[in-house]
Amino acid sequence: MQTDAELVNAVLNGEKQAFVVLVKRYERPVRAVAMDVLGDYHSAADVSQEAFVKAYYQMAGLRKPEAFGLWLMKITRRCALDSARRKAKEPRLEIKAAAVIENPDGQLDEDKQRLLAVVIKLPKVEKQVVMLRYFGDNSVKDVAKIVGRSVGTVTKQLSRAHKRLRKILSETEA
Amino acid sequence: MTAEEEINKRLEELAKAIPPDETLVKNVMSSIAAKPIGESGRISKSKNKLIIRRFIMNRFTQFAAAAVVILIAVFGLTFLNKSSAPVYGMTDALEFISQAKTLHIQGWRVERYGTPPKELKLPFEYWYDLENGQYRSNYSNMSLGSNEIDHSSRICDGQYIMSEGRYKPTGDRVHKTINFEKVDPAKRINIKWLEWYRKLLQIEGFHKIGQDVIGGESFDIWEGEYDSGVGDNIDRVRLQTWLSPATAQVGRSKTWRKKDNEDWVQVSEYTTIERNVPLPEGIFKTDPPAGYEIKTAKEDATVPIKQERDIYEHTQFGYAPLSYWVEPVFHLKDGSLLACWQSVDAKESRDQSGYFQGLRVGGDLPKLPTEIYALSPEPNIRGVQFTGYHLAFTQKETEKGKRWYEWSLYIPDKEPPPVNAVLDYRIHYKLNVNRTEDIENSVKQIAIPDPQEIRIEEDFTTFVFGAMAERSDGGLIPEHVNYEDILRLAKRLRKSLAQ
Repeated sequence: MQTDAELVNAVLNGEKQAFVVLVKRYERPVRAVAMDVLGDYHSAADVSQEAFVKAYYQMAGLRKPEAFGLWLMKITRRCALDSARRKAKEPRLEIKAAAVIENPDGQLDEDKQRLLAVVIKLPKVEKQVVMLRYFGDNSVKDVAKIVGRSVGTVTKQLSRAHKRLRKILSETEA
Repeated sequence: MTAEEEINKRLEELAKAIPPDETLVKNVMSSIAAKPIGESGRISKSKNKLIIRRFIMNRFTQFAAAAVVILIAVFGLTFLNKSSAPVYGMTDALEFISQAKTLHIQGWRVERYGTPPKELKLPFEYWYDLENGQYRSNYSNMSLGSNEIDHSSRICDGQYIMSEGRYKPTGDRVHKTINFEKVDPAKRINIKWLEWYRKLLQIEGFHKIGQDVIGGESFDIWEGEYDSGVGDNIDRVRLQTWLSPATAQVGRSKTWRKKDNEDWVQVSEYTTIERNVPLPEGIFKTDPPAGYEIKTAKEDATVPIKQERDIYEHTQFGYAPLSYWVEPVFHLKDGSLLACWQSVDAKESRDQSGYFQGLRVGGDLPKLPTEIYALSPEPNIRGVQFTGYHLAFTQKETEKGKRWYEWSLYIPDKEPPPVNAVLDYRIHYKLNVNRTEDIENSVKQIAIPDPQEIRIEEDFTTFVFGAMAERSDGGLIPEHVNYEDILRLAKRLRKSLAQ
């Protein structure tokens, strides 16, 4: 398994296939970030596509190739916020703006919305490992490889993320 | 189901609710198919800029950039000298060692005993596998109860550290013990020789005193001196190092000391400093040797949180109950320091929450029994002092009861020395106790461990957040603590200090 940094460098060297790997790796994390902002599955899918395309063209400007995942999620969030702003200006959507989460392919219930919102607010590094572990369906070992950290560090970051999630959720759910 | 299993399950269920979208890859790739990355003028332009910026921003390439500058300067000089050989300086040697994959360092130190003093030469040998976080220190001390040499070792296999110990409960028999501890991921490997070399780099007027040949290689001999100690107890220290200008290899390093008008006495020597050498097979194995009493087994090993140091053991006053502890310390990229410290008065209640009430971020430190109000580098040729400001606090239930940890930001009052030229930092403390037998407030200087360097946000997240989580119930990190805000706060405090 190649690290993000290796794949980014390969893309910059013209290997388009490497970008396919990155898209597959981050497809669900990116959609999760977009869904947190937009609450709408279809809008999130559109924004995800926009974010990947933007990332592709801006990749040469990425200072730390190993931080690709975090950078991509930042781009996604920006795209999603822009999209939400655009939609808010449309009178038809004004009334409903971000009120109801609509997901015909598998509705996010209130619990999941809340959990997703908390995941998105995790410290960057923790968010990245959680996203890759759960939404990317990767083992801890694979996550470590992708982000270029040791298995121990990733385990620790995941464990911290779990603790933080538990704490925040227990406060909000109390 | 445990809490851990429950959160795991909830995350898995959330992930399932966002299924893969098979069409996304296809859509993304067809969107970009018409415009390959190399064909956009804007992308190519920024890429070139970024290559330069990436080169400058990276912590290793920062050195490389500096080395290039040095090499260009050297090349210019050698060109004028009609020679094409590169010339390496002392900073190069430091960086080559810092970036080595493996290291082998050997030498000896001298212990003096008896009257008139006799000398005992105590050998040491260190092996480092820096890529895998493994090391082995073979060191020696004077035996308990005799003047013979007692050899011990401390071995780290990357996960566990196995240390040999000695104690003598009763009679003549010395007990040999083994203690295991877990590696603290927030701590880097401490290379003793590097500490020594940093000191050397801060000495002003370091100069070449001659040349020597070791094993067929030519070395320049460099020498410098500085004062070491506090108050009346000041020694003059002389450092010498053998440096190959052709390879940046360090052939030898010596330390000498003298008091007033006494003669110089050599106190230690590094005889071997080899980088990227093959490691002997099995050298980092942590299997306890036979005949040792296992004090802490591998399965019981934990990451050690250091015991507090008792202030008074360093003074003549003899009271016991005040103790302090300063660790870890982080060196931020703007030159400020971030330190965690705690202080306990055994005569007081263990509940210290009152000390932390009403504190302001960037304001006064908590008035704990021992207040670590400043830090200073050692050596400190520039006379810099870092003043402490409150940043955050954490608390944790430990075996000994609840502990409160203060996290302070220490701001330099003038340009601090470069990181690679600081050996360690000293603590300046005052006592806030109020008892009849109290001594007057005082300032002491006691060395603290070498700080961890934080150059990028990821370092901060890994090391600072990691350390905070370890010293906090539930692994929680104070919400207001983040990298950018701390750098901004440090900048503001530095400005106000300068005014």
